[in-house]
Amino acid sequence: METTFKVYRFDPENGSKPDFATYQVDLPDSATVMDGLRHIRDEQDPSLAFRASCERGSCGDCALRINKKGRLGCTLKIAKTVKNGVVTVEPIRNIPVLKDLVYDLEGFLWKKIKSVQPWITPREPEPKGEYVVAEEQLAEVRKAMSCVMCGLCDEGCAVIKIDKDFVGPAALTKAYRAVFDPRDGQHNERLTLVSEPGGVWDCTHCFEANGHCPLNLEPTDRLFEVRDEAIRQGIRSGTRNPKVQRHYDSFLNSVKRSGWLDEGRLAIESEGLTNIAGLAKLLPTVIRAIPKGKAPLPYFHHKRPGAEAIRRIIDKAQRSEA
Amino acid sequence: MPKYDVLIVGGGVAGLRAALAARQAGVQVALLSKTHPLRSHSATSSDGLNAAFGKDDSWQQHAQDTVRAGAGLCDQAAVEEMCRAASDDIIQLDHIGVPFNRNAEGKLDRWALGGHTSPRTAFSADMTGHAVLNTLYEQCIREEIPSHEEWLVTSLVVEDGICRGALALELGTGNLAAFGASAVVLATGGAGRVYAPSTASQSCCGDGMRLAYRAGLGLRDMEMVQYHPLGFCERAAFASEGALGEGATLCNPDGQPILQTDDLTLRDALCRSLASAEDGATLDFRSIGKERIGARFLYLERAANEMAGISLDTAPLPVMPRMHRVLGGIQTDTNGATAVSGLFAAGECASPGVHGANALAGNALTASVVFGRRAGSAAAAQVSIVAPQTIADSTLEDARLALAAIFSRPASEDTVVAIQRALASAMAEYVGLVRDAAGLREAAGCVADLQTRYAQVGLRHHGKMYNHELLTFYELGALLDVAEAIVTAAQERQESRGVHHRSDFPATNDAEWQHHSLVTYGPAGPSLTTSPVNAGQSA
Repeated sequence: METTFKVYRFDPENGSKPDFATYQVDLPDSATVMDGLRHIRDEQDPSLAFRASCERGSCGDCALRINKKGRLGCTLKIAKTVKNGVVTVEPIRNIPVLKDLVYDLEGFLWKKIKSVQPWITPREPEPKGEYVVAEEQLAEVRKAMSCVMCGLCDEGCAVIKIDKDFVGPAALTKAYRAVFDPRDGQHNERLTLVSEPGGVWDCTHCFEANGHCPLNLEPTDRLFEVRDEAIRQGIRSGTRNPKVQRHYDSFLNSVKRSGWLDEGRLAIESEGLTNIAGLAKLLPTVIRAIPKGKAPLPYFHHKRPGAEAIRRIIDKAQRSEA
Repeated sequence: MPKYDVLIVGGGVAGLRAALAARQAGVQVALLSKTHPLRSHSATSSDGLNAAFGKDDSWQQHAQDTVRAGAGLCDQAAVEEMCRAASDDIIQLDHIGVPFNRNAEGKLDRWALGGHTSPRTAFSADMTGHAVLNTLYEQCIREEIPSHEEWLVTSLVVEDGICRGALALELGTGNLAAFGASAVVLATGGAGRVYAPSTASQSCCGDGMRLAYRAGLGLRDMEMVQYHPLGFCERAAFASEGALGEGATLCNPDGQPILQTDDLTLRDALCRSLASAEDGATLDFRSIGKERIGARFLYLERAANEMAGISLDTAPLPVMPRMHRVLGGIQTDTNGATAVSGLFAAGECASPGVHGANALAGNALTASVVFGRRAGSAAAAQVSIVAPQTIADSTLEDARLALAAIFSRPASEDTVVAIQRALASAMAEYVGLVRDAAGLREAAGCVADLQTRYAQVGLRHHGKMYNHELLTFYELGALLDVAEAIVTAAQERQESRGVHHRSDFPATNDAEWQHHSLVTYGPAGPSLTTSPVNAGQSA
């Protein structure tokens, strides 16, 4: 099958700007995109750089953007993706490119994987033999662990695109592996860790990760399950970050008092009543807002209709939580 | 210059296990690997880990099965060490999080593999290698073990019979650096790419075997090359042999079973019978049912679909034998120690003597875990004998000159890729499942020719960053050394034993050939010696 490969090229050594190069490739119908790239490198242009390892969809090394979609190059047949005789191959998005199709996963993926501390600390008491665990409990852990760390869910993530600090669906799927492993002894510590800013609460529920996972591991759902488990364990977001905690407390107290949000109070209490420097930082905003009538007076916040009913709901929820 | 107590070369299962063992011994250890550890070939290991558990089995029985499969070439001490230790090693892996499948009581489930007298293989679906690799990696990042990724060791620094470290090329920058160490553990994996097609990952080029070979060490039992019966598609894919124990049937194209499910044959016999089936064979999962397929064949279910367009619960999967791995390797003792002080080896690049002439399914990953751990501990103990070594600047300078010499070769019509392809197809044609003197002679001539071409071939691309042609140049050097050792040993062994099948010498000849082959490097050509098999007491 004759195919035109349009391949992203970037070589910092020769100082040129990123560009696409075009190659004609004639390969059997069963050929994969990886076969095409290898053919180009071996027969036409030995300077082309890309990563590849297992050639069987087991290792995640060859994640690429192929015809505008994140895919594993080694299992994707050219015939399945070719459009009008063309296959376009680029590095995955939102990531520093090192050379051609080789990109830097260190900050994008590996550091984030490490940050969720995805290792098992044997739960006490450690048995002499294996842990006795129901198969059903481990089946989903095993499935989550079959993730090949290709990074394509992070590539598709709508949050990472604008917020590089979001730990992302790949790392949180890795966290799932540890959170739901019944042999682990650091259940709540890890849940606390991933409930911090940048963790599970920063997901915006766009479900892109599910759509981008080549293994159909449903990273978005796994992230939700980690978050739900944190809620079940009574772990509140940002408990290691007093500002986040103050923000939540103020939000709740405001709604409980007046039935809606007292924005002035929220701004002040989030910074902290004794945090002079923090409060001073609010001043310029307040000064700009006053002439526009957008600086509500804190604490003099009138109740909305139905405020009493809202208070009763909150009271009830708090009693049941206790 | 980076300097560590213990330098582990290779980030697969054996390397990571060794790194953790060294770390637990309290020494400073670092990893250096050609790919990111999670891209290692270990990720493809699908059969599981063998150990005797429960009162119906014993480590002695596991050892007996191993020795029987090994067809007279297993070293008893190594087999005993592995079979005795395996259950504790597996339990330890369970405790750090390998998600082994469970039975109805919530204990480790075990599946039946060919050549085992009882089911003793713990597994994590058909992705045990992947699960073990990921679990060990988790522990390595927990221990904050420094990891130099995408570095290729180009040579070992051996002075006065002592290994002082290694010289390595950073693939991303093309820079050379020296790594001094008290001990080096080679865990560079196999050499499957010496054949095509093969089940091996791109990285399996025998790098560590060459490093040891060029340092004067012997490569043992290299003629023993194992094929896997269940290759599928045109790629490196293969199905776990666990499929047969789980009830999948091997059929001819008419749907007639080729072997009974209760008759789990050893791999070598199975491969030869499949290879002689003219119309090919299929692996039929339909009797297993979708749910069980999903629980136990996580990888295969997906891969068969993506790569062969086959849904396992509705259609049989065409399979064929495919070169799987070289069973031999760098000769070591049961601590992974080699004849060079401070140099250890474990995993697929090493030959501690457990596989003999035919590896029992599941023993490869087991050996990587057990001997990886032992090599890591032994390497750590070396620290109390020798302080981490400083490598002389002149040594690094010599390596830079050698690298520059490669780049300054005149461009040639010939390419490293062409030589590599010619080598892999010659090996598959002449040194495959069935061999004979004429074919092996042909192969020897071919390897010699290709070595001559290799000595002259120039590079077309001279960039420093991620220069794959340069990487292939080094890998091809290793593949040629490995091929030389395989062919030399295969020519010499004029009998059939285990995976080494000679059509001109179909019988096993214990009187003359029950010994290891050992190939050592020489500038004028390899030399072959033999060493007795430590058969010891029958277990």
